[in-house]
Amino acid sequence: MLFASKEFLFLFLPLALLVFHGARCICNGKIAVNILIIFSLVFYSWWKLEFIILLGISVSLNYLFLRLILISQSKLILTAGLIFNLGLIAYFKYRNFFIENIELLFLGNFSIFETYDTILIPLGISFYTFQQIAMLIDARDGAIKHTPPFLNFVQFITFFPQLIAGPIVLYKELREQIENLQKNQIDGIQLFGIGSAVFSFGLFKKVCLADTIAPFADNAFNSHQIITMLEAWAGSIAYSLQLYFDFSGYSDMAVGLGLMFGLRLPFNFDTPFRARNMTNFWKSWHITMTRFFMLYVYSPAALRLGRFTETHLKNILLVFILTILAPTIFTFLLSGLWHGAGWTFVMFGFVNGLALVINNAWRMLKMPKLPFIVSWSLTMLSVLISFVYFRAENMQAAHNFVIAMFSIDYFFLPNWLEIFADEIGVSWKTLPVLSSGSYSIKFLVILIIMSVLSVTLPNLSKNYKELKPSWILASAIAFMLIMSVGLLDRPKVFLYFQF
Amino acid sequence: MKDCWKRFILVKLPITLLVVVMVVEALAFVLEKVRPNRHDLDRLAMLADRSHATIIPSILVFGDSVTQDVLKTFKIGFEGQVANLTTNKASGLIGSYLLLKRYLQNYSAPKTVIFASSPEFFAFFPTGDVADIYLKSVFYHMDEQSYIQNYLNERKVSASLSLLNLKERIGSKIIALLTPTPTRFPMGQRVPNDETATEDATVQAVVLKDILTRAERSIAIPSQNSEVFSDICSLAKKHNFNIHVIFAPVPKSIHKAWEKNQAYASFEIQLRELVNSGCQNATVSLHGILATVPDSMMRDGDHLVRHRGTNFYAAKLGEFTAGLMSSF
Repeated sequence: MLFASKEFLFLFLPLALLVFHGARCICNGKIAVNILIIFSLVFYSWWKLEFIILLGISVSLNYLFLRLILISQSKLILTAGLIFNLGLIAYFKYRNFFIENIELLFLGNFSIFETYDTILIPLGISFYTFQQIAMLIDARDGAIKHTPPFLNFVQFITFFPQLIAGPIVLYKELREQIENLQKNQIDGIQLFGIGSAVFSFGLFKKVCLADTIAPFADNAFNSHQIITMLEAWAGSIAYSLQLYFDFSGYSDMAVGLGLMFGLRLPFNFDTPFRARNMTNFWKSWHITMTRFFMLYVYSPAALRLGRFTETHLKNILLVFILTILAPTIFTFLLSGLWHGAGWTFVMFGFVNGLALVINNAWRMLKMPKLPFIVSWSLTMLSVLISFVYFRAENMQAAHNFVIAMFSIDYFFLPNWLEIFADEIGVSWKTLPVLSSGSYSIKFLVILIIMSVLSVTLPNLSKNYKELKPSWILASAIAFMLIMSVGLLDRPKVFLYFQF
Repeated sequence: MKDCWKRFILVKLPITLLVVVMVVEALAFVLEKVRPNRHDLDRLAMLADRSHATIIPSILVFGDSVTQDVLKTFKIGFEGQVANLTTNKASGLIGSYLLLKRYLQNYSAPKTVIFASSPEFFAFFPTGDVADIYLKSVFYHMDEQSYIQNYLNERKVSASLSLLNLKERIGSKIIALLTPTPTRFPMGQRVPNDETATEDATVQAVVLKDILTRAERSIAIPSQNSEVFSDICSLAKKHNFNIHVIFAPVPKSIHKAWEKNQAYASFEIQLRELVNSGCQNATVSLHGILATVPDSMMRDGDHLVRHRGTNFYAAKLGEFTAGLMSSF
């Protein structure tokens, strides 16, 4: 069940809110939290009932590992826990990818496995596994001192607003809140009001903005074999905006839902397209994932390599390679792979890692500070290229796209501008995407509006405390809800393009 | 503060929601009679609904996007003699029938109606979302709706609240108000030259793949289209015009594939049977495929390259209509 679906908006959510807050008012907070767990499990099993078993196994075993770590502080148990979690994710998400690549590497076209089982990736496995990994490491490091009651642990992992697409929450962020919820010590009505505003805003971003631009991006990426320069640029910008509004909209919905149920989840986006360098971009894009990789992958690696270089190396280049380049690239390759089992995702991570390394090198070498427009353009250029790899179906498609973006051989004006093109002496032809004037103008107008919105819309997930219960807020929520519900069912592709 | 939020949830939010819903419904009510202007068929249907003609065209051309592509750029016949009512495959033969019927209710009957399309136009019948966008929401007259209903039994519950379908009930109507209303049937101004189809360029792999995919598509005529074509013939008899059916140039690879799998031969047999059984009282001439062109003259499986391929087709179409004109 998706947040932006009728069954969620008209059935699941009202029912869950009614029963949860009803139980909170009539019975007590503990019962309300237990009811919330049941609703979370229903939410998860809506998609595929069998994966609830996997979630159950994962949660139970991780709880056991957590208890054992807190009792013994054993590194061995932590290692076993990590192997279990990574093994789970490797099997379900990366098994076929590994088999395919091992076969390709060692056996050419020969396949030792006659047929691959098409494994369905359990919904949200990357998110709930990472939350549990973080918890085990935090327990070993002493950041978690006491074993939480089992139901609190289950509530933390399965809380449905963050279960399938994040944000990746740390236990320390929710521990006290869950306890307060159980004690019924929350300002329910205020949080509900604020939450509904944040949720409506997220829904609006997803349904009205992301879904509006999605078909334009799809058309461009589906035409990668014959794409031209103008279309490749328009397509990559369109996809970047789609991805931003889609994911940040979803994250806003998660934060809003959390508030509606009395829990404050961390925000995940902070207007990333305003970033003037890659470091800032990754501090404001998918913040909780970046935080996870920084805390649990980058920092330990950089720290160990830093200690090694301090005592063994004097060459500045080698120090840079070992303390900046290697851990950054390694972390971003892993984060790319975390997004999906494919080389395109690895490349997505690599492009971002490389851009970050250049950013760091620039700073370390004390190079002059670039004017805003230059640094912003370079940052967005790196982001656009990396998102092409993120979206493309395969490496070849991504390469075609990137080549079209930068090679002058791919510059053609559309045939409907042939008179102008002939006048200025530029080649023209029938373009696969910008095939008609009306479509191109529509595309351009949408790109401009969305680009402006991407840097000007307020960040309600972050600044929700500033919201006041005014008529203006009520009108904004009503407008966003009506718009979103009214556009919920529109076709997601342009039907015309089938003909 | 708690009381403020309580009032917000219990009073302000419900009231504003109600007001916005009422505004939306009122707006939808006001816009109810505005016809959408989303695609070429909307504009053709609008034009067919009221006569602007000073010269009565003697030839109407119907067909799919392959021909539409040509007629939007190239001029066929003398000013006003040929009216371009080509649509795209999405609305199907049924869309052409409804458009023709509407045209005949408002304009004088032509001498000839040409169906110039790809064979696939006769093999396609719109359903689902496609039928919603290209038929049901375009042909809204009572008789048209009941005609469509005969063929499309999909009973999709139409939302009674406009807020559940904002795009169709408000969005496209506002856009229609902002878009200029068409005043004449679209026809290009470029005059086709007599360049021949020569094999002088390589075919892009993606185009070739598209062509081969097209070769695998069925071109069998569904029973609904047989019935619709009979109804077109009835209109021809009633309004005393004759019908010519020609097919747009096809690439060599398609021609070869159709020869091999006998698809086009079966299609022709089906079409002849359809004319013999459903069009006894009308004059229908079947002319077959206008020409076979090199694959390099295609920009995808169906459409010709602009303007080399489209020019070739326009010239052929021009010759064909000129031949008809001289016989009037």
